[in-house]
Amino acid sequence: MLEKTSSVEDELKKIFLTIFPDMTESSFDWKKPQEHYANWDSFAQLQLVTAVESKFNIMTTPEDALSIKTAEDLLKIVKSRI
Amino acid sequence: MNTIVDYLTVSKEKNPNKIAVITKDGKYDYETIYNSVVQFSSSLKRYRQNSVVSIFFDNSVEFVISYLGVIRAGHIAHVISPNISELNLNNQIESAKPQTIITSRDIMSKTKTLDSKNVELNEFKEFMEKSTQNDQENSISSEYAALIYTSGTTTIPKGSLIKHSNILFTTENIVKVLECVSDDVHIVPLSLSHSFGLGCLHTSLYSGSTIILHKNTINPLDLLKSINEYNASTLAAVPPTLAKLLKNFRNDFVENCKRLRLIITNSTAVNEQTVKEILRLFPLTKFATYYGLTEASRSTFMIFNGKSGKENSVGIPAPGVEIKVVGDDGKEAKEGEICIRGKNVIERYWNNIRDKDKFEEGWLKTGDVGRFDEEGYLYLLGRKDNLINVGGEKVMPDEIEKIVKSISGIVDAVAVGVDDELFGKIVKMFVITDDPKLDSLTIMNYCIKNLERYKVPTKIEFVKNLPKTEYGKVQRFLLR
Repeated sequence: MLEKTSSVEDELKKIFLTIFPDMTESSFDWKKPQEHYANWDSFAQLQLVTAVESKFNIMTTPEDALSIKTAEDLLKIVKSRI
Repeated sequence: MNTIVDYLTVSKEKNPNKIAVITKDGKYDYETIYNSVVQFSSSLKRYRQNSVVSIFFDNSVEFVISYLGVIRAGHIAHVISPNISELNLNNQIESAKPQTIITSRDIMSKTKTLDSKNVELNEFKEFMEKSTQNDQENSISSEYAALIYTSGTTTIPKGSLIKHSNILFTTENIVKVLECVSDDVHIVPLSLSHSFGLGCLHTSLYSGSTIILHKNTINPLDLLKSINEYNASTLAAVPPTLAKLLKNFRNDFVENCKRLRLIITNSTAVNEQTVKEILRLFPLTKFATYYGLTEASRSTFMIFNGKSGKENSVGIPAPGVEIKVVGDDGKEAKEGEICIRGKNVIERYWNNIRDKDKFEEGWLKTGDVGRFDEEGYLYLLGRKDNLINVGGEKVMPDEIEKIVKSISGIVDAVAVGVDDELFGKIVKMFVITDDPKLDSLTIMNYCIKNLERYKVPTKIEFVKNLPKTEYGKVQRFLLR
């Protein structure tokens, strides 16, 4: 179980680093709010959601997408679906 | 000189014993071709003038004789690709309503689904045996020479009705711009049922030269061998053939082709790297492409030699051809739909299908999007109907595909717009890869670094094949 949780976090972190390539692993912060990202716009939001849907084979709702303000928010959604 | 057959007649009178056509089955001089055309056309005179006669062959001397025979008899040659699908063949016959279909024994089996169409089928050799008259008198020409259905990358195929005047104007331009002469020996591994290949046949007949027809490029070494054997002077090939020769047969390619005076390519966009490589490997050879449609053949010409930095251009308008780029408001713009006017442009489609959408005050609206540079060189940016509107931002799939195809391990890639509640459309990418480790995040990451955010494909699907037409063009509408 611990291994699975750790893997989800690693995979999600990888998705964030892909979609925000200016961010480094050391500067990644689960609680960093959306407005502190340079490029977290509506396209990035869409890319985040579709990337996790594809990676974890889950479905999200438009309400889920609207509620994501931090990486931690997205992690919670992913964990609740898998 | 009203038709391409008139040029055959002149060449026959000037040089009856000169070889006109070479295929794997034999060599045929101008006199033999001419006499066969006369014999063939005599049997077609029983049909009323201006009838449609379908010809359905691989590249062969039978194609050449039938095509010219139909024209000489005053009919319209409906040219069918030997690779046509059953469905498309049925659609074309339904639309063209030919008096007869002339075909070869090899291809005859493909017509078995046409029984219900009540169309007369004739096998070439039997048809020739029936044609015993030696009728030296020319018929009154039809205004139209050929009916060619376009490849159907976006819609149901439509028939381009090509006039003799279209053919002669275009052929004169090819001869002038590419400096074709009667001493030329042309190697053509292109289907004669396509405008590129058929244009090569016209050029050879017009200038009284020799054409060597290959059915395909499955064995590139055969192709290269024939270049050497016949001391060929020009090679016409599609970009994938050139890329294959460069990648897998580089030494043989250079050794056999270094004396060619011309390599010409077309059909799909030629890759910038291919242009640079060919110019470097063949310093004595002209390397050219052109932009054209079945509806407006050879509208531009591009000779790459000495034009560094313009490897992505399709060149400047052909002599006597006008091209303008028009924005959404219908006014000339820096970037927009390419419109063409000139004697190479067809007047109408068969049955007037889509005439209203495609023609305006003599201009053909091509549906291709392009731009001119400051020196008047034209660049193609994509298809208007392929444009993806992502939340108001206009995205050309070609740009995204070019970026994705540059990722190591990507064999092919196609971008289309798919519905999205928020943005209207978003970009979805279909990719073929030969690297099992390549994942969608790697592709997305590369795109994020090289494209504006709204152009980045949001959905990526790995596939084994992409739907393509018989000419290799992707059928995007099947992916949307």
